[in-house]
Amino acid sequence: MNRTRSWIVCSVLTAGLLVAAARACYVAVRVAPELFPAVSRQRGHRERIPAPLGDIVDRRGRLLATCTPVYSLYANPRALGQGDLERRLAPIAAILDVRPEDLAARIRRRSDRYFVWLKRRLSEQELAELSRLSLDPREFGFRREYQRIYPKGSLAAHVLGFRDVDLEPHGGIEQYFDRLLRGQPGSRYVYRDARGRPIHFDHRRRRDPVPGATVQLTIDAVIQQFAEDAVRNVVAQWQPRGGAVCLVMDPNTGELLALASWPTFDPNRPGAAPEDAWLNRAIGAIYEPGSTFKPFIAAAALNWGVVSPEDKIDCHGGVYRMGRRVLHSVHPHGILPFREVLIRSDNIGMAVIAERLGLEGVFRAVELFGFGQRTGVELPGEVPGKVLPFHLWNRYSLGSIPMGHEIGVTPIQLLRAFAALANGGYLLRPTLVRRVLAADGTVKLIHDRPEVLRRVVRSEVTEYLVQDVLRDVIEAPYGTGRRARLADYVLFGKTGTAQKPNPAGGGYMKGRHVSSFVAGGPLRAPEVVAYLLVDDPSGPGHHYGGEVAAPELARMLERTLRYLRVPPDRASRGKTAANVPAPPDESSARALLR
Amino acid sequence: MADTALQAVRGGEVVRPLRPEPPAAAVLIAFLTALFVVLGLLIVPGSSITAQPTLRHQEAFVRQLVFATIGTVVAAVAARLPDRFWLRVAPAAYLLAVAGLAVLLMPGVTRPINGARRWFVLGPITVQWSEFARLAVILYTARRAAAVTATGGGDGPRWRWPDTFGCLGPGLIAAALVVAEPDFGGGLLIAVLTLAVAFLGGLPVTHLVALGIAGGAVTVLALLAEPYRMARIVGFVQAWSHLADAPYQVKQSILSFVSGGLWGTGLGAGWQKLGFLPEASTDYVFAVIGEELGLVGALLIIAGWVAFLWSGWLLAAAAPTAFGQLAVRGLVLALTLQALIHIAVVLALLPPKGIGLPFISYGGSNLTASLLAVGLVLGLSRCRSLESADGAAA
Repeated sequence: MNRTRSWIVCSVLTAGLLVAAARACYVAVRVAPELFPAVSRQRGHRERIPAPLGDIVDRRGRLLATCTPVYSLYANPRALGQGDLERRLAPIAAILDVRPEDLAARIRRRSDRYFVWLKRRLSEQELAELSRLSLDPREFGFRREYQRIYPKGSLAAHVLGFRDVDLEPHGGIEQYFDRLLRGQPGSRYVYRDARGRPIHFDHRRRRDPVPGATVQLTIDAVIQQFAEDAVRNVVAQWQPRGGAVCLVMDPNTGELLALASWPTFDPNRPGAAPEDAWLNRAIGAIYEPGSTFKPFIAAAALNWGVVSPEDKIDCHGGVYRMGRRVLHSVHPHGILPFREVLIRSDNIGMAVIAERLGLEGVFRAVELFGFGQRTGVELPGEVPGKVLPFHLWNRYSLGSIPMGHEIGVTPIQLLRAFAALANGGYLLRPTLVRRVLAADGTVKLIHDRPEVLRRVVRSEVTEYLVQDVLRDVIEAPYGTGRRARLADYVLFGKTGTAQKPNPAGGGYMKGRHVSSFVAGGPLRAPEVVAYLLVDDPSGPGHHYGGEVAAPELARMLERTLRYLRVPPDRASRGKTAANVPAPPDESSARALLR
Repeated sequence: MADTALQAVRGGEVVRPLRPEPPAAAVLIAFLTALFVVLGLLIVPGSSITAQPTLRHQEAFVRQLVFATIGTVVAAVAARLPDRFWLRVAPAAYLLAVAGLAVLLMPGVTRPINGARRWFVLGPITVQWSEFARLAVILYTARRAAAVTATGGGDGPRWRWPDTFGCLGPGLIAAALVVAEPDFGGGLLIAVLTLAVAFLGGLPVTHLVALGIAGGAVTVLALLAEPYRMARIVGFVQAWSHLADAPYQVKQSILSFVSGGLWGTGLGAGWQKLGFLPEASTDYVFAVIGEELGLVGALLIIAGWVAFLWSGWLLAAAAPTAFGQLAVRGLVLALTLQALIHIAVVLALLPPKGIGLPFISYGGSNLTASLLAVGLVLGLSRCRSLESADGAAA
């Protein structure tokens, strides 16, 4: 009896323990997979350590964009609890100059979280004063972030783009090379107890951040300044209603030395910029180029032998009927030598040359010089321009397109095509970036040789056009670009004055122009080509490109060539075409480098 | 009455030769006890992962260490006392225990902690009286049951209802006082242990069934009187399989238990006890074991308790007197049942009861009382009485 009872009690209890063991297995096998996410969330989490952004420097290493550490204040709503927030937050609110209620409301909205920002990017004074409060580290903390700084303000804003408070890129190199500039954020694993207090940093699970790569641009900050000065001057003088663009390129490499678009903005304060400042007009706007387009058609015609330099072109006295359409020249001419058609920029003469090329020839010339195709420059938002497909071309096209109408081009396309004339006939991919260097010194990307897309015309053709024809656009007393004549350097170029198409559709607006000038120098071995476009100038006078854009661009080129220490083509005795003497370049360069 | 119990054994057939070596079962019990105590020391918050434990954590560790030492000394002394001594002091111990429980309930004597009057506060230490009262009840019930059996004569015991009441009464009175503290789990444990010792001592099955029917009726009435109790039980049973609906501490307990996986995070590397799991070092210490030692460790602990139970049972058979046998089984039962309830609560098989895991849970009273129980088990199961009897005969 006693033995049996003893056995019963022992068995019952043993069975109970076995049930417990079975339950343990059941819980571990069946319940664990469901509950595990909850466990790891509860225990701790990975905290990002931001990586410093890479710098952006100009071709000579001058800093255009960098980043500095900055501290931001956060709170831990879980640790703070709910009670009496306003009173406890009052000293912080006083320093940050906000109302305690606002801070309290922000914390209450996220009361189940461990983290909420109270103020991003504290000033040094705020940081110092907050540090003196000796805040409870469980409840408040400072987190180190990075802030993008553009030391030269608005200089090259459209090249650089900008970053917002979360360092998200908007436009420019910032956006295009975002992945490389950002680097790799690191992380550390933080364990917290039930009240959200950090209790342990797991160093074995720490990953150090990899700083972003440095992007070295082809832009030269000094030349960029010259270009922006030129834009500022034409804007001041002509009050353009549409904007202005100045581009400078090395025709031998395709490297852009300056890119200025107006209106512009300060990337340090993007909020203050006007709405129309975001557009980078050098790549993102299309214009009817006007007469600056003529040299390319002429080059094609010479290249394919449909005209020769000795040809005499009948300009029909300023009135020429093409089918049902009647063309007019601004200044009527009779019969002109081929070269003077360009120098005097006679529209009818150009139409006659185009007739020899034929519609298809003009189309091939347009395609050959890269119009209607994105240039592939390292900027987001480039547009391909507007070239109608060939089956939509008609007889009107033969009259309009050679003089730069009925076609939409971006300023960078035009300058690239012009560079092809300056460099002996090579169409290049324009580039803004010399190289990208990772923080450890490895080269992520390098442009050490020009990227040739194709040979467009023979060098005899370009040599003749540049050395003879386009030089005399400026040098000849009857050239349309004579106001661009410089005392020291011999330039070559072409003016352009395009009527603005009516955005309402159909026809052109009277008295509304896009005035432009494309030029390069020095003549014997071109090192720089540049383009200045003024959209819809409103000042007094005729808004010819030779009047609005040519003098300012010539002055810009003069400063640039001097800055590049290019020896003058001739002893300085002639009169400078520019009305105002150029300010000493060295001092302005020094001002820029401060 | 005490003498009759001893004489019954002396006159009976249970005469065994004196063994110079302690039996393997005693060694195993001592080993398991030591293992559990060391594990408890490693699991208290002082040895948690935080590189610099707080002062409170360090204090907890030191306290546990101090009580382990005190308990070991007490157990060693208890193990050296003859079973005659325990037989004699059992009534006095019981009276002291009941008096203590009654004093606890008197208003003004103690300050309630968390709404319950369970503790005597003596300067820096608090004594949870019911832990010791439990041992006294077991000893006293064992004495009464052994006495009833002894008076039965040669052809077996004859229990009558007065015997049953005399045997169960003291235990149930103590249980009622503990329930009144209130400590429902602790009271129930004492009642069950009283019943178990009486059953082992020969309580007739008819009496047991009658008591079972009466108890069942009272339970049903209690449930019907307050519908929320029924709802609570139904809800708890449902939570066995739907843990998402379980109350917070049950969920956290299961969460902690499973978070160790198969092998655990390692001793002292558990996270749940750092605030997520309430009462982690006392009522839910088995969950911490699950986290830090994994499923394998938890199963080994359960296996350890099975071994503890069986060793106790073997040792009890070696006890020379009926009182000794009953007391040893009662004490082993008390420890093992307490462990089983604790584990069942952690695994959400039973509603939260606030019962610690013997030896392992943090708390001086639990540790000291449990070690004292082991000392009694080892002492009572030795043949000291025979030894002295032989000495007297010579």
